[in-house]
Amino acid sequence: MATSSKTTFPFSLSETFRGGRRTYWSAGPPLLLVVVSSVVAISILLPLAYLLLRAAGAGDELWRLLLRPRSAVILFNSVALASAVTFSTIAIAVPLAWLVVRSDLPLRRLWTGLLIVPLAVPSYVGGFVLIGALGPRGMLQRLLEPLGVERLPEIYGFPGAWLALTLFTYPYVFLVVRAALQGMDRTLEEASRSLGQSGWTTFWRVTLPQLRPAMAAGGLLVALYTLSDFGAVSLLQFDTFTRVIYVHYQGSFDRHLAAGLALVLVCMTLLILVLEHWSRGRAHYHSGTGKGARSPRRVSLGRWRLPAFLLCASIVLFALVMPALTVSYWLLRSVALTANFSALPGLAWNSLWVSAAAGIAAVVLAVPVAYLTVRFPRRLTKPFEYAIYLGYGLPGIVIALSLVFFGANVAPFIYQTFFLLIAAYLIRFLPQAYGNARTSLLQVQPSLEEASRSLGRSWHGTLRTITLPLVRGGATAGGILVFVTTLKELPITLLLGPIGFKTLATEVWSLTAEGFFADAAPVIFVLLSVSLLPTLLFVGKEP
Amino acid sequence: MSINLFAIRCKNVTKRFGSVMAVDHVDLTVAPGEFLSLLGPSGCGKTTFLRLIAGFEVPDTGTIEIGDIRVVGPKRWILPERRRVGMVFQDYALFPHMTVAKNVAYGVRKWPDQRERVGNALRLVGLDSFRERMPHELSGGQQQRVALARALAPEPDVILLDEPFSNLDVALRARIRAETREILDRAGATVIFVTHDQEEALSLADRVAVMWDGRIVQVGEPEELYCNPASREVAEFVGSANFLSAMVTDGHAECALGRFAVNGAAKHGDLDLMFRPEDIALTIAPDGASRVVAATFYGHDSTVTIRLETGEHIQVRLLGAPLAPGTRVHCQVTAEPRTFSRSPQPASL
Amino acid sequence: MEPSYVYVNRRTLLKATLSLLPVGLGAACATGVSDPRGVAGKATVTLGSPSLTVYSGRNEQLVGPLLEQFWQDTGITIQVKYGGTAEIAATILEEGENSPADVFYGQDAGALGALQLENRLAALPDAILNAVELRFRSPQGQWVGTSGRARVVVYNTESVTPADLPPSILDFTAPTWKGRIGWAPTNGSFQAFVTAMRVTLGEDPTRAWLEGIKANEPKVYPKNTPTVQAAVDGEIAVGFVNHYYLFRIRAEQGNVPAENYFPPNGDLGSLINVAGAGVIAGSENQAAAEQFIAYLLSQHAQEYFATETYEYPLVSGVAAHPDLPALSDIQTPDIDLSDLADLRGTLELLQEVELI
Repeated sequence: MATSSKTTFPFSLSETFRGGRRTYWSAGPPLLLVVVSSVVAISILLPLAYLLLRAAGAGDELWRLLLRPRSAVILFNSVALASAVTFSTIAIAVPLAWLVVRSDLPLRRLWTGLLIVPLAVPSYVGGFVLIGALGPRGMLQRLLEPLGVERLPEIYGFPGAWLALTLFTYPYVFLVVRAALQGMDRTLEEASRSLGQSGWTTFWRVTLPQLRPAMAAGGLLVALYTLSDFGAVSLLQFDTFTRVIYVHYQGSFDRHLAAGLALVLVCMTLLILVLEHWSRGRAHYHSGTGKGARSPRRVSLGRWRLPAFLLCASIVLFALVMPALTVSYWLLRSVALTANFSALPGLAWNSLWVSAAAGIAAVVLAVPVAYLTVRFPRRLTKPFEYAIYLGYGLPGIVIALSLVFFGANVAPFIYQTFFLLIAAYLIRFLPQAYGNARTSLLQVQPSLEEASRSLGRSWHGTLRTITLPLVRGGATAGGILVFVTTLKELPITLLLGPIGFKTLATEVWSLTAEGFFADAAPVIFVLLSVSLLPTLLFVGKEP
Repeated sequence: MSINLFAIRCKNVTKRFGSVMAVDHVDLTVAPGEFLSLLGPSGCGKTTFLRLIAGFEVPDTGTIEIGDIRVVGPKRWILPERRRVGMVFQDYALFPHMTVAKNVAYGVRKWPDQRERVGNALRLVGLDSFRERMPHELSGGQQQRVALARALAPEPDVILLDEPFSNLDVALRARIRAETREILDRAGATVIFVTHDQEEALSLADRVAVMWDGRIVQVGEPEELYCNPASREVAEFVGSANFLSAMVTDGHAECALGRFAVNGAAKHGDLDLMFRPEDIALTIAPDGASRVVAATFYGHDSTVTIRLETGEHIQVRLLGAPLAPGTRVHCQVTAEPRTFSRSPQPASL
Repeated sequence: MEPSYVYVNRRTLLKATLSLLPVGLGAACATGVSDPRGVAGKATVTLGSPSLTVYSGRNEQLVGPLLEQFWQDTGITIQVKYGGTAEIAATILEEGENSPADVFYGQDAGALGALQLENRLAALPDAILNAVELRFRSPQGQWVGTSGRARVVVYNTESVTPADLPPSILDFTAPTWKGRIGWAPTNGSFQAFVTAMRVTLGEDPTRAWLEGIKANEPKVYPKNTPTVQAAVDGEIAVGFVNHYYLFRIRAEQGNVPAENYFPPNGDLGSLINVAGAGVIAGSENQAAAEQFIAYLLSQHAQEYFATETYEYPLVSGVAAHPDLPALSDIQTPDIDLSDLADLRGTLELLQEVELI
């Protein structure tokens, strides 16, 4: 009886009752939370409004374009790529997360840091790297040439796009699953072992089902990222919906058709959200009290230590060492290194502060919204949740142009300011912080907050002293995701940044776009280092 | 300061979750210093009722008063944190990121005598030496006592306990229960204590309120509740009960165990008679019409199931070892039975 | 961060400064405000000096030093927003009347045409328009070409000898080229080339050619750079690209095994396409904006294009890179490169053949 999911807090009544104007039947969430969440949701819906406005001008041509047989193929491609990447990232990330959290694998912290960094590889760099390393006449082929290997099998098309996106997005799942494993109640596993199940069976039948909400949350980030990615699919020649949208911007400058196509992407995003919601199952509360948070008892790997090491090493090899080697090779083959190191500190600083600001702002906004959707009835808060994810499924160019439109015409005083730039980052990347905040809030038992209230603390006092300290780890992980993703963001930075504002990412793009690969190499290294530092700091500070 | 005749008074309190009536027009008054147990099967609404008092749920109708303050009523709502109600949760809800001392100090933060109160509360529960431990380093019983100390530290007028012993193992339970009662007595608080365990309720409480389907069906002292249950449900839930169908003629009810005078009931018609298992004595009789069909040994006593010649089954408690199944016995009733009107489907035990 | 801060590639700037003589229109139009800055890098804005906002779809690595030089030569503070040509054009369209941009400097004529079609460009004075041939500027007089590039066939010298190459680009439909071609159908330059083909040969032969190449299973690249790199790496034997990417890869990677092939005799394969600029309608800095475009057509800017970006200068009197065939030898079909109606037709054809 009185399950936690039915918990309602008559927060908003606090002050109104003194005046006696309202009756206590209208209990609901605190006004502040609703206002913050509404502002967030409405901002995120701006791009959708823009798309509807633009698509209205598209006319019959949109239907002709959508109804041609090729659209079905492209739609299928998008869905196939998104599903394949989602499944492969989960398949990679879950064992890795388990190894660094629950096993006695040596150097767990270092591995954790190294396994997160590939997130910072922009997909347009990742695409070049993959072609340069594994292409038909890439580095690997050159290594194998003495053995008589003339050409490697084709990397273009589905395999390349799938590989690139898997290698550079699995950290989304890794981080979320890792956090879930850390907060998981181990007594269930112990119960399973005591029922005579082997460690392996326990993992499959007890641990994995418990990880389902985390896998779904991480998988959602990957699926939507894949859907909206342009860099990797265009370089690796795989036709997806996002690529077609870009073609319409670039080829015909037709914003109306592109907007119509983007609306299809919005529908796909909604579909994926429904799927995720379904696969999440009934999100249960992990035990966040006492026993669950006990310091981990690590599983001894025994003879599995070598295979486990090889798994971690091979992922780091492909997702981190290979890009680093390829980029180094660009430097090596260059005859005229014109690299301009003097600009690098400035660029790094720009990247660092603007990404950090986005990461912090994302946490500050995501936690209240997550609090609302976790603690209050879903039928009221579901629209907020869906709204938050919509922006994430859209290509960056769509978000950027929609805010160019609103910024220049509705709010010129913030147009091309850092305020709008960071707001745009948030509109696009907030789900990364939200998903983490939500997962960690689910692990905080409502009874902890109730205990605090009954001990005389107000709802905000409770939030400050109980809820926030308990979700800090998860929320920070979300902030780091936003930070790293913002570091490599391109279209929004280019179009919405103040004039003359440049970051490491825009510099990498500017150099690689015109083939100055050698000049791009040091910038890419700085980009990776900048993303590694806070990540290691975060991992290192954990108990 | 006025002297109150009650510590808590609830009138006509109702709470509905969708189509489920969790708390259904409940009236209840608890005297200052009283230790009241709220007993009922799981899902009967007793935890919801507790949460209504604490302020974690908003009732649909009714008023609740704590001390001389009306905390809920038409156009009135006092926030949970202003009700001066201490609560001990079923899962204890200890703050996992704080030490034992910080947990206990949480409710008395910034009080001038904070240190003293934390020390007193911890001494009261006997955990003074565990101040710097983290909650996860404690055993279940210790966690329960920290939760108690935390609730007691601000000296609230009312302490609410939500099944605080259900997470403890059986061996520990009896001892912690007695300790808890002692601690609460020393603290002098008014206590409402929710449980589904009738033995717990009867042994600890000054008074027991039995809750059934969202309603309070009977309130009384443990003995009264046991001997004079107001309904079949109460009889069945509080202790075990044997029901035998009886035919009433001329103020006497005739059942398989004999003929008994009935007072106040109908002079004619069908009735159910209720016998407690310890109210029946057995004698071994090879020609007896009843037969032992099953037996369970508990150590200090045992329970045997008897098949009567009418085909009805009853349970009888014996001191010491049970009788072997198959033994023929003669039953004799040693106490007056209670009468209940005939239920649609007779209880088969 | 000061918004007017513009990073400058110091080496390139130095080189550019040394190689340029302060002559031409730019210097003539200089306002006379003395520039207090001695070195490149962070600039202090002199109060009262005109300030110009340029939206550049041309890459900073290519034109950054030139724009910096404009600042130094004229004293006009210049703020540049860099991005992809199409994205920048779309940005100006979305900004509408409120666009902060004074000048759009784009990579291809199509983007300029898109702005012209939506009345986002102002008319240019004849003095500027007349500096280039009619075929390299807007017939409506709203934009002007500033540098040109030729469509060429880049080939890998290890897998193809010049003798193997057919006289016309039309002949690459032959089965011998199966699996050896690379192209970028989504790229603007390629689409301009298809437009030219449609105008010159007609709809059906163009469709036949596209389908013929498609039947040869070409590799599809997103744009020119990776196509040329693929030819250099031997991933493909030939690629349909713009001429100057090979020069840039040579500059970085040395003597790579690839050459440009200009199909002879005015073949469609070596069509000239232009980068160009226009003044945004409603700009409050009309004069400075025109001065900027004039600067792009000045002799030293044109020389900069010839020597630094390996493009064709469009103003007479400035010689192209010695490795390139003369501009006058390349015939361009009589089409308006910025005519979006033509471009739409091309896109429809490409969609019909399922190339985009």
